[in-house]
Amino acid sequence: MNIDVRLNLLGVLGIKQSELAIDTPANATVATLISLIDQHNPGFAAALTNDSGGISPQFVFFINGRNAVHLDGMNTRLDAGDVVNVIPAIAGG
Amino acid sequence: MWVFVPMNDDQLLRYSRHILLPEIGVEGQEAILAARVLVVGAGGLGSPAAMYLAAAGVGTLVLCDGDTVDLTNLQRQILHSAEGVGRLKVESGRDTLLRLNPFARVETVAERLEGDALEAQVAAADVVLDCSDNFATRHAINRACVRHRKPLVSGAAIRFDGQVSVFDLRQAESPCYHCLFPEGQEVEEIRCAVMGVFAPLTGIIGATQAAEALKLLIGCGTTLDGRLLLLDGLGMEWRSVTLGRDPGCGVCAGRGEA
Repeated sequence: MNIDVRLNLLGVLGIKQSELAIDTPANATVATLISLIDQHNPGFAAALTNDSGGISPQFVFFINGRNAVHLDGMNTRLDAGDVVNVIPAIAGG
Repeated sequence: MWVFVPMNDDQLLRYSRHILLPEIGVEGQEAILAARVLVVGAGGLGSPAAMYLAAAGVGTLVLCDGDTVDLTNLQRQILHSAEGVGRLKVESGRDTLLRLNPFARVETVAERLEGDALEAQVAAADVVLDCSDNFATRHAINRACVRHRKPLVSGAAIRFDGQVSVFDLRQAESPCYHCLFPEGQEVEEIRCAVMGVFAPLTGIIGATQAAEALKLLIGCGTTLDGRLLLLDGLGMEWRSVTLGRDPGCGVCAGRGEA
C-alpha cells in the first residue's frame, strides 16, 4: 500500500525537503516506515529513534494531522493513503 | 475589554494605508490602537515582530527579555544596533520602537518571564507572541495562555528552517503548543549559537507572527490556528500541516468543557 510521506525541515540530517510515495506492506507501522526511508537515507532511523526504540523527542510524526506519540508511537498502524509528516522540534528565536 | 478612542488627524494620516484596506478600516485600526500585545523575546523573531506591531499602531507593547545585546546578535536582531551592545535588549528595543512610532506605549520586563509575572502579563494581554529561544519558556507561555484562554502566536527558527503557528486558545477546538510538541521529554535544545541561523529567516518568521497577531486583533482573514506553517529557507518552500487537539493533552485536555 502507498503512504504519502512528507519530510520537512530535515536539512540538519542532510535530507532535502521532499515528498515520497512509500510502498509499504500491509499492517505497516511507523517503525516499518522509518526502516524503509532509512534504506534510501542512511542515518534516518538512528536520528529519529531514541535509546529505547521509540520516536525521538526531537521529531514529531504527524499521521493525517495527529501526532504519533498520541496514537501508538512506533507501533501506530498505517493505512493506504495516509499522509505522514515528519517535523523537527525547534525552539530557536 | 478594549476601549476605542477615536483617532486624531495625525493618526488617521499615519495609519491611512491600513484604513484603506476594507478588511481593516477605521474600526480595525482602532482595535489595533486599543490592544495590548505581549512579546516574549527581543531577539531574532521578537525584533521584526515588535517593530511591525509598533509601526502598525499597537497601543501597548510589552517587551520581555532578560538578556543584553551581544555583537553576535546584530546579524539578525534588527531591534538593536552597534551602539546598543551591552545594553539590556528591552531598553535597546524600546528606543528603536519609539523611534518608529513615538505614539506607541512600550512596557519592558528585563528578566526571564516566569511564575506570577508571566501569569499576570498573559492575563492582561490581548495576544501573546512567543519569540523565545528555548522549550522551557515556550511550554510555560503555553500553559499560561491555556489557563487564561489567550491567543498565542508561536514562531521558531534555526539554520534555514522556520516554523510558525497560531494557537487560538479562545476556541474550544484549537490545539495548544503542547499538543504539537509534548513537554516532559528530553528534547535537546538546538541553539542558534551552535547551529547558526540565516538572518532573513528570522525576519520572515517574525513578520509572519506580527501579521497573525494583527489579524487576531482585527478579527480579519483566516489565521494559522490549527495549522503549522513550515519554511525551508534554502529551497524557499512553504508547507502547511494541519494540527488537531490531543484529547489526552496534559495541558489543555478538558478545555472548553462546561
